[in-house]
Amino acid sequence: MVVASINLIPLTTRRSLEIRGIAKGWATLLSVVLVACISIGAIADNRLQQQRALVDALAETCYSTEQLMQRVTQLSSHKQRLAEVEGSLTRLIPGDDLLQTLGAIATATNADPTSSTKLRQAHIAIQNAQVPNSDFADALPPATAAHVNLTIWGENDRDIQSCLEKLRNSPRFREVRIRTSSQDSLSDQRQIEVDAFVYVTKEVPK
Amino acid sequence: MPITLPDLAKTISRFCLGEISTESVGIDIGCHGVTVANVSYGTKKKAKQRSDEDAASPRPTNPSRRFIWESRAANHFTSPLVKSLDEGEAPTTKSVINALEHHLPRQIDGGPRPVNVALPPAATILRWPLQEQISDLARTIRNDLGNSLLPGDTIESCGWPIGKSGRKMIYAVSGGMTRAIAESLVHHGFRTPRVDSRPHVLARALQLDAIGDSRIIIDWSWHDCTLLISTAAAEQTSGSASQPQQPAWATPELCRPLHGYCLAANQRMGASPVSQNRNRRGEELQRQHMLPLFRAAAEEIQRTLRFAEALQGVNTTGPIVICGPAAIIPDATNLLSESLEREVRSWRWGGVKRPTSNSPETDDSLFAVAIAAACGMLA
Repeated sequence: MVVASINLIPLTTRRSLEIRGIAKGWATLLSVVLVACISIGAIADNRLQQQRALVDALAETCYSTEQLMQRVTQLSSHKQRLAEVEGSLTRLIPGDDLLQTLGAIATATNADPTSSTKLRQAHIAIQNAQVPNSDFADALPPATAAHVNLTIWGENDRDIQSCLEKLRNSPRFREVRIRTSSQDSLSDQRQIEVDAFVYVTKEVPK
Repeated sequence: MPITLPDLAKTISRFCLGEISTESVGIDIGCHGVTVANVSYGTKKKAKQRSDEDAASPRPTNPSRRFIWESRAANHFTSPLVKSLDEGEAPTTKSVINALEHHLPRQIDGGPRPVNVALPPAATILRWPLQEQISDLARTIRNDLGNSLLPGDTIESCGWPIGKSGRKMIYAVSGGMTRAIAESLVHHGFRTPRVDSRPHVLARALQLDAIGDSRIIIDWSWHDCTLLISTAAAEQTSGSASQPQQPAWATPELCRPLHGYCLAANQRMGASPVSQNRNRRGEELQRQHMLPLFRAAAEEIQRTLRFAEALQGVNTTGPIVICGPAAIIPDATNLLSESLEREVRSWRWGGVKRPTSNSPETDDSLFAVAIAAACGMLA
């Protein structure tokens, strides 16, 4: 039995109604899909705009920082260049380190003509060492230090003590330490060996 | 199984055409009023369960078990579509559309549902022409359709053989009327309208009857009376045992209008006048009022059955089922049963569920055609 054959609506009407129904169904479906696509697109576009605005804002915020960073880079390279120039200039300064050291030792040990102490031996090693424990590092011009090893003879303990005091009070001496201390049994003289650093300034000749 | 795009498109198109719908509406347009039934296909658990039980039992499957009768509505026209009771007066397309526009109960929930309509018998032609009359048939039908056929309208018809007698029944309606009804229904929020041949709908109603062993149904209302002999429901359904999902609907065999024996004709039979509006539910129609009509009708029914028996391959045994307003008249079935000397009973819905009714007695039979129309849309 063919069910469709008992439908008494004229075929043309039936077809047109069917087409209308199908068209309506598809139109509904397509419009739903379209609306979904448009809304998804709108949301995506909105998010894109937001991201772009954020990127712009961040770029604006970072602009000064970036400028500063560039300036810092420039300055640091400039500073490096200057340091190189300074280094080469410093190397051009004539070295009077030894004289200064000797002068300092002489000033410190022989300030008092009545002293009975004698400087027997001095071992001087000039090196570009940082002055240890330098309180004046910031205040004084760039300097090096000379490591000195002195052997001092004295009549008695008091003389040697005063000689040490002088060394310690001298502004050029740092880290004055007694390495050995001995007494000559024959001459009854005392001998001390002192380690110290002598502060040596670099002076650009005028 | 992967779903391809063409399959999807096909499915969507089928859905748009209402072929996948699980709910449909049947509308029975009579001369006196319109009845509407909303039926859904048994996707619900209970319906499936019952259907499975039926499939397991040796008894023939009743197709109504798969349907759920969701809701119903009825409205009476202020004036009947046909004024006189004389045979041959057909309602005009305009009057049918007018009546529908004003009295069709509207859907109040859900989306647009597929709809199936059964036209008033007065607007249709039933013929079983002899061979020599066939050449002349188109002209006589055009004559007989009268008012309902406007100039330029087509005649829509369907035909089926009467048993094995070699004769054919022709059922014809005005194409203009069906077109106008279809367009009106679409306009009122239904979709994929169908106008099924009324004999086919009646044959379907026979299968949907609760007992379902009958071959003869009489659709008996105020202005129409139609007798239909169908192929036995049991014979039809036994063939569909392999496909329990799709009940094969029975085909009609002999269908005869008994115009002169409609309920409104009882005045002619000498009974006291009864107004259909006052007594539309039939409470006041007493035995003595209806007796002359039923006696006369019984004789006519006997004559028709004798004629049918003479045709080869037509089986007229079994009880008679009555649907329409006549079925709810008290004692109507008993009166007819006495006169016809065979079992006569009212049509009752055999499906899963029925909407609540205010009346103490069962009035399913008023909605038989509407239900059958709706079920035809679903299976």
